[in-house]
Order: sequence, then C-alpha cells, then structure tokens
Amino acid sequence: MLLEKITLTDWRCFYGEQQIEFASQSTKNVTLIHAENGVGKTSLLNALLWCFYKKNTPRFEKPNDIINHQAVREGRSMASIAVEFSHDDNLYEARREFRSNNSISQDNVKVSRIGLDGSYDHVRTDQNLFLNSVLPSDMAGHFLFDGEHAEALTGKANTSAISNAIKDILGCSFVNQSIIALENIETNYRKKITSKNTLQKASELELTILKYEKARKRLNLEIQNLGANIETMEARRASIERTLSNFSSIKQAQTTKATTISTLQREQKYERSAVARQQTWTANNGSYCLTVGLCQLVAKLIKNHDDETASKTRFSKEIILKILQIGECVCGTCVNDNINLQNNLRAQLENAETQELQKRLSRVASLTRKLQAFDTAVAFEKFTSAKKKQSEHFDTIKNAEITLHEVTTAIENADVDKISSLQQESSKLYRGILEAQQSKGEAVVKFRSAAKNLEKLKGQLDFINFSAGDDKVAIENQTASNLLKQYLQNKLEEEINLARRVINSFVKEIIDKTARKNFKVVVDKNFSINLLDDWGNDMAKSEGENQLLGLAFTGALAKFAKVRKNSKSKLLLPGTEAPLVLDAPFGKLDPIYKHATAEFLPNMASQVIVMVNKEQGSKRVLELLEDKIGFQYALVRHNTGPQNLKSSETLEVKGKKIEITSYDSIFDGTGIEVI
Amino acid sequence: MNNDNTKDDDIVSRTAIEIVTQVRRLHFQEGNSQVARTKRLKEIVEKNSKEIFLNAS
Repeated sequence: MLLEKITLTDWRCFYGEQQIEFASQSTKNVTLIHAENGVGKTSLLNALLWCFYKKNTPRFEKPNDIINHQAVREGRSMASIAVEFSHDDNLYEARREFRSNNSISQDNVKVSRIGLDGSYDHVRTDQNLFLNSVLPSDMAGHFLFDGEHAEALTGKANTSAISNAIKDILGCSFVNQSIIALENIETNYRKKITSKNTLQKASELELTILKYEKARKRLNLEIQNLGANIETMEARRASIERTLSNFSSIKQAQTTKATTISTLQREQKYERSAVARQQTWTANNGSYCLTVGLCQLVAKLIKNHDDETASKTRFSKEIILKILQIGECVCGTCVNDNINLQNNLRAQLENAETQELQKRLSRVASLTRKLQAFDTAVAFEKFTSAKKKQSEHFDTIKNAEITLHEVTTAIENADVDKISSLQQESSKLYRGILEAQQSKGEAVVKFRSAAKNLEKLKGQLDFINFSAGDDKVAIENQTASNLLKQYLQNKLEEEINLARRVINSFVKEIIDKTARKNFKVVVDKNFSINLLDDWGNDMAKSEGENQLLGLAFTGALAKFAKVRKNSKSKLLLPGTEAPLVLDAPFGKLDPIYKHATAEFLPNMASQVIVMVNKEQGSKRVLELLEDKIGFQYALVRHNTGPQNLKSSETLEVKGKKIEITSYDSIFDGTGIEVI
Repeated sequence: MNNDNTKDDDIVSRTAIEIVTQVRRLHFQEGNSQVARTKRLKEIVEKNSKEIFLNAS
C-alpha cells in the first residue's frame, strides 16, 4: 500500500478543502511536511487513522470535535477525509464523512476503486474488512507513528508495548480473542461436569469393551484361519487318498495278506484243537471200543460160573464155615445133630466161593454190563467228526499258505516306500485335522463367551451413558476447548519468539549504523529493549537513545511486516507493506543522532512521510534528506485577527521564504502550501 | 515464517484455524459481540470435540 493523496475538508483545524499529494517513487519516497506546534501535524496523522479506522492516537485531544469551527460558523455540518492509495496495482479512495444534523452524528467509510478513466467503483465487499486487508488496524498505529512519544516503546516500564506491537504486526488479536473465548467456553463446560466417578466408570467400561472387541476380532480371525487350515488339510488328505486308491491292488494285497495271516493263525489253532479233541476221545473212549467184544465173553463166562455155582450152593465159603462152626443154620436148624446136613455143608464148601471172589465177580459183571451198554457208533461218530474238522482246517491252512505266498510276492514287487510315505502323510494330516478342529472348537467357545460378555458390558455402558451422557459430552467439549486453547497459545508463542528474533536483528542493523556508542541491542524474553556494553552489562539509556531505539524498532516492525507479506499462516494475518508516517521523529535527538536518523529514515519503508518543525528540520537534516524528498509542504496557520505585536514566522526552504503564520486571513485554520 | 497448512494438519489445527477465521469474520461482519462469538465458537467446538477427544486419547 502506498498513499497517493489526502484531501481534508473542514476537518478539525483544516479549513475548506486542503490536499497533500504524497511522494511514492522508489527513488524519491519521502514526503516532508513542515509544521510548527499546534498547526496540525498530529491532526494530519490522526486524519489518516480516522479515515481508515475511525481511530485516534492516544494523546489526541477532543477527538469528537471534528468539524472545523469556522465551517460550523458558516453553516456547514460536514467534514470529510478522502485518502487515495494504491494497493496491488489498483488505485482506491477511502472516504469517511462526518455529518452532524440536529445532534445526530453519522460517520461512514466508503471505499471505491478508481478506474483509469477516473470513474469510482464502490468496493462491494465489507469496507472495514477490505481496509483491514490492506493495512490491519492493529498494525496501523505502528506505521502512523507519533515520534514524539517513541520512548513509550522502549522504556523499561513499557515492555508490554513492545510485546503488543509485535503481536499487532503478527495480527494476533483474533487469536487472542479466540484464546479468551475458548477459556470462557472451557470454564463453562467444566461447571457442567458433575459426576466424574460415573464417567470414570464409563471410561473403564469403554476400555474393557475395547479389549473384548479386540479379543473377539482376534478369535474370529483365528477361527477363520483354523477353518482355512482344516479345509486345506482335508483337501490334501483327499488328494492323497485318491492317489492311494490307485494302489488299490497293493492295498488289497496288503489287506489280503493281513487277513490271510490271521486266517492261518486261526486255522492252525483250530487244527491243533481238532487234534487235541481226537486225542482226548482216544483217551476217553479207546479202551471201551477195544474191550467191547471181550466184555461179552467175560459176561458169558461169569454167567455160566454163577449158574454152575448157584446149582451147588447158595452160600459163600465164609458162611458155610460159620454155620459149621456154630452148628446152627441161618434158618435155625441145628447142624450138629444132623450129619447129613453137615456132610452136605462140607460138600457145598468145596464148590462154594469166597465172598471176596464173589465181590470181584460182581464188579466185573457190573463193568461188563456197563461196557456192553456203551454206544460205540456214537463214540466213533464224534471221533470221525473231529477228524473231519482237522482235515478241513488242514486244507484251509494249505490254501492260506498258498495265498500268503502269492500276496507277499505281489507286495514285494510294489513301490511300497511311496505308498508308505503317502500313508504316513495322510495319517499325519488326519491327526492335524483333529487337532485343528479341537483348537477351532475351543476358539469358538471363547469367541461366544467374549461376544456374550461384550453384550453384557455394552448394556452396562448404555445404562451409564444414559444416566451420564451429558457429562460425557461436557468432558469431551471441555477437553477439546482446552486443547484448542493450548494449540493457539503455543502457536502464538512460537510466532512471537520468531518475530522477536527477526525484529531484534533489524533493530541491531539500524543501531549499528547510527548509534555513537558501541552497544548491542537485545530484545529479551520479556520484550524489554536493552542496550548492552561489550561486557554484556545493561546500560542506561538517555531520552535521545530511547527515541532512537523507538524509531529503530518502528523501522524494524515495518520491515518485519513487509517480510510477512506473503506469509501463508491461516491463524495470523499476513504482513503488509505500508507507508511510515512519522510525526516529529527527531524530537529529542541531538544533532549527531538527528543526522544519522535522517540518513536511515528513507530506508525504513517504501514510502516515508515525515512531519517536522523548524528546529527538527534543520538545514543539515534537510540536506541529508534532499535527494529522497518527492514533495514538500508547509502547514500554514491562518488567523482572521491582526498580527499586532506578534512576531512573524517564516520558513526558508530551498531559498524560498514562506510565512507559516498568517494574519488578517479570511479564515481561522490551517492551510497547506506546496513548497 | 510458519506455514500452518503444511504441518500439524490434524483435527486440532484445522479446528483452531476455523475458530480464528470465524472470530475474524464475526469481528467485521457483526461487530465485536462476545455473546455471538462465544455461541459460534461453542458450535465449532461441539462439532469437532468428539474427534479431538478421540484423537487426544
């Protein structure tokens, strides 16, 4: 932004319409305005601030007394300031008018773009927003600079002024407003939070739910993986089994071999059993079968003997002897008296048998009867059956031995290793499938358990949330407000620290060129501008040094604002390039400092407007500035009254004498004269 | 100079930028009403708080 022209109409001390055209060339960028005290230097500075922002410098007296008093006396009720300025290759006019009708005051700003043909197009966007985008109002105070009070920036007690100036140049006010608003919002939410314990419980439940959800997800994945593994193993096993089925004859042979061996073992056992049965039969029945014919003969002999013996005597030898001994028969007949009977008994004794023989004969007769009753046919049938069974088992054994020989030969000729390997793999897969199925089953049980617990916990959480939902939201909002506030504070601090370092460097550059002492300038952490000697000791500053530092700081701010012009920061305002309007910059400087300041003033900004009185604008100062001055003006005080005894005041510039106080004029007020 | 749109492009920075932009807009459009500012900022905070909260935890 460069100022092109200002038109003041009945504004404060400026009577009627007065104009100043500003120097805006890069080679001649200084506009010098000569004015003595009370003529309107500060009013001119304030005219710019008022037009753009309806603001004044802090010490500007009676800021609401806007319309020129003589104009009011002449019946006019309107004052205005129109400032033409160029910005981004366009020419604009900002015009603010003040009207006072029947005690009602109005002052609105109007911004227009001036076309090449001189036409005025009203800027459609918000006027204030537009002007703030050209030169933010916070920064304006540092460009439109009251040099008489420059020390206000650098005094020990005014560290906040430096801090504020840097913040203004950074455009921090909106960030600050945001921080304050967020603090209030955070407090508001904090007050709403009542039941922290409930929320703590809800938070713990949420964590547990999260844990279960993770477990459920993991188990689900595990189940899927196991399922996939099982499918893969089953597919592989099926493939192996299909391959093995191609070896079915061998497999069959193996089966046959196994069956045959089993049969062989069984039949051999049966055969041994049949032989054993025959042997037992022989033991049990052999003697009977062999003696059956003999028995018949013995029975006949015994019968004949018994018949023959029975015809001779019915008693045994022992009974006959006993009868003879005792002399009495068993029937009671006395034997001793009967010789015939005795002789008869003695004759029977010769043919009678002993009782022992009778017993033996009786047992033999009994045995022969028993043997004669033995059924030989049935006994032989059993033997024949056992013999037949033995023969059958023998045949089966022979056949099995033949079969075993055949299948063993077939198996020996086959690729048994491959079959074995496949069979082993198949078996291994089968075991793997069983294990995987078991693991899958366990995982499914765990998964169901987790799902059940999850549902239960969610129910509990819903219940808590239902009762403490508002608190939860308030905590979230409070935390978010706090985080946002901290974020903005950190960003602001970062930017301010960076700005402090950059400005420090700029101030140092200016001071190195101008100050007569060898001191270092340091803007410390507290934004206090300090002068340090070679040993780092803090030095006391004179009034002049304070003003010099104030000017240097202002120049540094202007440079910093220009550097920040293209900043892409979305939080802070971009910088700007703006004219530096300096009201009495040499105020308290001694000649040496004045001259040094005059040399660096043109370099402080792209456009510099300097307002000086006769004392400040010394011949040497003007000489130093001469090459850079584009326009020069004098503010002339007009008085309708007579001069009387007052001395005349003249200003001599470029050999031209100008009356800077005029008497018997047609108006009371300030006029602007081009030099 | 710090370039906010190339770093810290998370929910906090985005919301912070939205808040400052809104404060600036309100300043020029509706004057400097603290009530309007607080109301609007609360809306922005509430709109983004869940995500900010989750992001922070």
